[in-house]
Amino acid sequence: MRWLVRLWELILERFHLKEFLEHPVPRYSNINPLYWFGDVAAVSFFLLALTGFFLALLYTPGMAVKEVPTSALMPWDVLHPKKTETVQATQSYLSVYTITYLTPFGFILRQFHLWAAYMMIMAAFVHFFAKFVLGSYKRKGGGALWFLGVLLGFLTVNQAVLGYILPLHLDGILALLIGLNLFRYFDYIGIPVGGLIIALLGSNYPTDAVIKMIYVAHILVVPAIILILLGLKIQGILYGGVSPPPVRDQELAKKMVDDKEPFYPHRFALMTGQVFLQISLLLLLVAFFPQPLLEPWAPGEIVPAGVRPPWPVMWYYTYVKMIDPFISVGIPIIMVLFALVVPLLDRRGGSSISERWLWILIAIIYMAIIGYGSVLGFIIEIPKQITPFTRIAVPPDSAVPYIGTPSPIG
Amino acid sequence: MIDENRRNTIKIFLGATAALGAGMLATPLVGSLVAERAGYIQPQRTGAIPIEVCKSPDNCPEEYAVPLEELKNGPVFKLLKVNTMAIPAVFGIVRATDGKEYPVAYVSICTHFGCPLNVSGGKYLTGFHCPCHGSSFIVCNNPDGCPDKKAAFLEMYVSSGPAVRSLRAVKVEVKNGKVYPLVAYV
Ligand code: HEM
Ligand code: FES
Repeated sequence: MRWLVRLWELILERFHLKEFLEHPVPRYSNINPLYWFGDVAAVSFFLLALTGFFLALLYTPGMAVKEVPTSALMPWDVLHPKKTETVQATQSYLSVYTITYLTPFGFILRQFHLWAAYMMIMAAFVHFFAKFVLGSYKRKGGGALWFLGVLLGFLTVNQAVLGYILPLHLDGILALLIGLNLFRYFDYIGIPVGGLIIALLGSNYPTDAVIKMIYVAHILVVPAIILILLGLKIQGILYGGVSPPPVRDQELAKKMVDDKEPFYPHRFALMTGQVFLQISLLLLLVAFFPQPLLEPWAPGEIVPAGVRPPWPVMWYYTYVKMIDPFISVGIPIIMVLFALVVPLLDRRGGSSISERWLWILIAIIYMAIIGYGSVLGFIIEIPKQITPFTRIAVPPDSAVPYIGTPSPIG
Repeated sequence: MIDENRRNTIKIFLGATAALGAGMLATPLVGSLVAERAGYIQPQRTGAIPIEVCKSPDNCPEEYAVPLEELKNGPVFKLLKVNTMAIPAVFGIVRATDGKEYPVAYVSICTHFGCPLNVSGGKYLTGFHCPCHGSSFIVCNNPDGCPDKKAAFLEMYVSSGPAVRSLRAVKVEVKNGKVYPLVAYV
């Protein structure tokens, strides 16, 4: 036993890990929940990487279509009962079907990945809101961390959409088709974003090459970028400290900042507890609220009515249904851009709640826009147009008339 | 003492070398990806990208063709694979108000956000409906055009919903009782 302890101490010493383990952390940030959710998101990411690795071993991307007996589908996966003897499913769908229903522990593996993804998004949103309320971007170095945070949030949602496409269930294919065509609105105003996407992926309709690209982006490219940005962020917090406590009294604030404890064992113990709690919570969610695989779909088949997007993008779906596309396409871009420039707009005043009420209100409105759309999307069947400004006249030369000379037959 | 001048010179050299190296690596990479598909990047004013499927019915692969006999029973879906593209085309016959029948084809991607469309109509193709946000498209079947809808003859115009643009069409030609796709506007 003694040599194990020696080895451990040697490792700590040779790699200068002691400095890391003993870095001072202010007590208030260990106690205040507003400082916890970044950790929840980060831990979720590592759980995703872990489960994602095994999923990647078992999953095979592909658009090739096969017939399978309808009786193989689980009833909770289909929107309306199928009337035909067989249904068509893509290679991707069948491989996720195999993982879910025919591989030992596969069901738990996939559900865990899915719920960890949901938890990461939820934690990222709460974390964003918390730092918005605290005005964390005001301290020195805070602006850069805020900027990284917004990028990470964007990449996380992006990663979730890419992952959602991978099983190529009906909803995933719809998400993919929208992703391949949505950005073509930029082409209309002369910025060839949509054209470039089509040129890079080779098609605006799912093909094997497109699916492969989505797969590589989901398991390699985007996680790698997230990992690098996350590393930068942790580095910035390690050496720059966390944001000041939200109190008005300058003296008290200084006292709180100076009241530090070493990372190990205080915060370390908290984080260990957090990891286990998070894993248990995820396992409970998997056990009690397993998410359906959803139904297969192949090109040319009828799309059943009533398909809805998953909750992280439900708010956007609501606004898309109500508002002219030339406006609705811009909503997420404006939301992200606004989040990016917040540190430039909100510069004056202290960081206590009473001094920050205006920006806390803005933060609440920001979250309410997302929350309102989400709730509306779940509870009502939205009429096609709600607001009067929803229609913009089509530019006369932008409609595609029937091309060629129509010639009748017979 | 640190010589700031020398330092800056070295920085400039390093930066320039890195930029040059990155450029030399990226140019052929991006070039190879984009060059042959450059046409996709500059869509027409309509936002559509013309893709030539066949030069003429004579050299058109048979798997692209749809027999008129089959079309008479109702619209037919075909996934046209052209180079790297997959083009979902729906062939059909439109019955005009003058009683004549016209073979047509449309790309069944919604012009709103891009969802796959469901065909409406029975034997004849009359329109499309989008399951995603509820856009409906109806064909203008008046040979003189449909001025009240601002649509030309055989244009698949938006009749309701968030979409603002007519469906993109596929130019077709009939030969020996078969309908061949010539140019698809994706
Ligand atoms: C930011 C991190 C990540 C998020 C938010 C995320 C999210 C998702 C989501 C929502 C799905 C769809 C699950 C379903 O509906 O079946 C998915 C699937 C998948 N993910 Fe991830 N993921 C992340 C990281 C990773 C990583 C790092 C890997 C691999 C190393 C990975 C591999 C996979 C694979 C192979 C699938 C397809 C299998 C399946 O759908 O169950 N993911 N991901
Ligand atoms: S994609 Fe068809 S209505 Fe939105």
